[in-house]
Amino acid sequence: MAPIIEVNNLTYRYDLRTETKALLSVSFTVHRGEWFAIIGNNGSGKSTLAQLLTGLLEPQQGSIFIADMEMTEKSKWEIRNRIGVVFQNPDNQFIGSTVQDDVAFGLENLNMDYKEMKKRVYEALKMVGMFEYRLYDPSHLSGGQKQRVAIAGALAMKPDVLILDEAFVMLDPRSRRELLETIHELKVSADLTVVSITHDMTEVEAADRVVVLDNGQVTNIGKPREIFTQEKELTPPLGEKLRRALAKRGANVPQSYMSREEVMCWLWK
Amino acid sequence: MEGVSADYVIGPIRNSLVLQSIDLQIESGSYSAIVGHTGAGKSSLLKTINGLLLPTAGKIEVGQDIIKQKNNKQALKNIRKKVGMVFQFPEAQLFAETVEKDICFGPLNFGVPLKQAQQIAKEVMQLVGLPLHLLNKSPHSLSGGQKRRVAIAGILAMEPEILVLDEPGAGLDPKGKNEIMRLIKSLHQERNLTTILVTHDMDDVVHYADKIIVMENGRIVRNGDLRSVFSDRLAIKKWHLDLPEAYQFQLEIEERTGMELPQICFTVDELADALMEVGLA
Amino acid sequence: MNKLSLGRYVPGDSILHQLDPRAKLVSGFYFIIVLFIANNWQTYLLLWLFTLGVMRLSKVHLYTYFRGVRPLIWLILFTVVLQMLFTAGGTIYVEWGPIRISEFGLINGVYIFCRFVMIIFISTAITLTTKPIDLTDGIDSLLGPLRKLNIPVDEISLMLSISLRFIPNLLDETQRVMDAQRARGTEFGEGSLVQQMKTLVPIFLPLFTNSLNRAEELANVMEVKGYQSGIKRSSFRKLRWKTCDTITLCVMAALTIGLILLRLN
Repeated sequence: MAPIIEVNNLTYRYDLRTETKALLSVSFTVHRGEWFAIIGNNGSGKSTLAQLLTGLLEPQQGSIFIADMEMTEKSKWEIRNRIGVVFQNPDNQFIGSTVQDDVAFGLENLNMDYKEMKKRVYEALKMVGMFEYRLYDPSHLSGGQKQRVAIAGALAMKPDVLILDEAFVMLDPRSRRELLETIHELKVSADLTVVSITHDMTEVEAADRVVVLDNGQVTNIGKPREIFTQEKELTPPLGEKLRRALAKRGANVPQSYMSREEVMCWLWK
Repeated sequence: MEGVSADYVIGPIRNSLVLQSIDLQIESGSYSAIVGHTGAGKSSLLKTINGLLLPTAGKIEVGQDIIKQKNNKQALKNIRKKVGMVFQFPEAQLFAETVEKDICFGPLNFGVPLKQAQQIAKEVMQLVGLPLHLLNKSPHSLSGGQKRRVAIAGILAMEPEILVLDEPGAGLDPKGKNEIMRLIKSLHQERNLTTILVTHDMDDVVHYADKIIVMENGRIVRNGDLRSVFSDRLAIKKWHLDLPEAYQFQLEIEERTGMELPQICFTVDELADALMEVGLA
Repeated sequence: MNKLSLGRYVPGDSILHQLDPRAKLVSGFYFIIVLFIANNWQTYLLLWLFTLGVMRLSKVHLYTYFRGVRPLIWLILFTVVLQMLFTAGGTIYVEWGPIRISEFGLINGVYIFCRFVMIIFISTAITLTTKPIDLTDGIDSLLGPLRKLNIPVDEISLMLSISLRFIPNLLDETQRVMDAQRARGTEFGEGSLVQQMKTLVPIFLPLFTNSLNRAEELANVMEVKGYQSGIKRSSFRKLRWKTCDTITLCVMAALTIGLILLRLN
């Protein structure tokens, strides 16, 4: 598969006088069409990484390539046309005074003509199921609905990559689940690469590959199955949790990671 | 604790918009979770318990103090001291230049002498598991989880008998959230704090609370122990509530295998035990 | 508290609601100018008929209009009294020491009063029937020519519209912080002025910090969505000039002609 994001030896420190680095030679590659999760606890450097990936910070050492362009002060505007970003706080990323105005904001910046803009805005809103709400103002929307609008705003730009920067953290469990499903569908229908920066394990489980950050360094990279097997301090998804609980009780369960579905099949055997 | 046998009667509050004829008793020393869809009136209910929202009809008794439509200030003040309220994202209320000053803010407002307040600040810092050297730091220099603890410490410093919390774990990473939830549980157990938790997360409910209060459209539609409420699956669906993840999984397993487990399992451990018991595993 | 909308826009479907904000703004300013044509009771009568007609067309309860006058009533009365005292001419009705109220003074006072109240009524009619965001768009469009003078009209109107967008959030947050500090034993509106000022610190400091954080996040979002100041942006919000807007301007012209005729009489 062709790489869409390449991060090489990325190092960043906020205070150049000290030795403490927010990121220390971080490298990874994200393939086109992949769902890639970046996880780590608070202070692991994942928010710094998010800001570097979106061009809000400039790499001090190392490089970032997105869609074959190197991220520089000059190229970042070009790159931003290829990525859509959804941030954490639903309120603070709602710029427009109505749903459709907000979705149009990025397109307005491209100086797009009205006809094309309207088409894109409507399409994007339909994709996230918010078309009926297009004339609403944000104070009448729930947190989950606002995040849907934010996703629509990203989709309207027809990006290659959708970056979810802790986008579901402030939502309740149900909205979170529903949004994850939506992202799943969109990934296919809009031909997206998804990069989710998160500490939510359901989101990790949904990913194709995961990179674990700790103290600014990559400590592990692999499929969720491998990560949950190797990283013992991570809270695993429900299926694996049950497998471990059963193993502890002396049940004859397989010794390796099991998803929910696998546990179910094993019980049913 | 002073022998306050707090039975609170909140009853009938009539306000066509927010709360409607609510009758509720919360026993002292209990841990109740209030759940319900967004806009069901949960936060309004919390505010009435603290006198931040006055009832248009009916009254609220907190111990000997009574909140009514019209109030004397002293009763309100007594109640606010007795009921410690931790709002959602409580770190947003931190304002003082040091952690110590922020924690002392509540006690000083209630007339506690400065020396004593500072002593209390030290105690609550330990209680919430923060090192004492942070007392002289600015609250804004702390990490998200630490800020939340400071905010909670600021409430505990008022030495409340009742602790009311609105989504105390929201926005924290899983580790931080677990720590906060465990902290609250241990405060509840060790200090015999009456605890009222508002949450959307049913796993929090079954892991930490003893009682569940379900709200819908400004009314209390169910108030009881966990098992009886969650076993009523039709009602749960009607109220748009989720099931705890282990119980949800149990139902799927039962459907797939055609076997019924002996009891409702709220945690993975309970589920594993039950599976072993019926011989599925 | 969060239901309080700036400019007190009242949703509705009256003719006034449907007018283009530009038509309303231009007519509103124009009305203030034509007011100065009026100089006799016939012209004022015509203006009153016009004003009341506009108020009627807005389909908003008259009480709302009177509420708009109330906060300004002392300022108006003060000006009216000054006008009465310092205009001389005609019969003198009251003479009491240095105070002298003349016929012309009284008439002028009444005229001034009418002018004030009519201006308030008309501008209230505009804000009641126009969404704040549409007003911003209208202003943006009308100030368009200023772009040639290197005045950053687009930035100003974007700034305005974002501020309007966040007012409800700010009010919500104020309420939340106030509740939180009340729960910690703060009493508002009690004690001496100094004490009252002190209770505001725990409200404003958190609000200030939170607003700064919010502003930073917002700036990041805007940047990531490709916003740069000074770039050429298209606009999704379109103002559409309709026949009824042209008719409105015609009505204003007719009003002017009417006033001039009545004045010449």
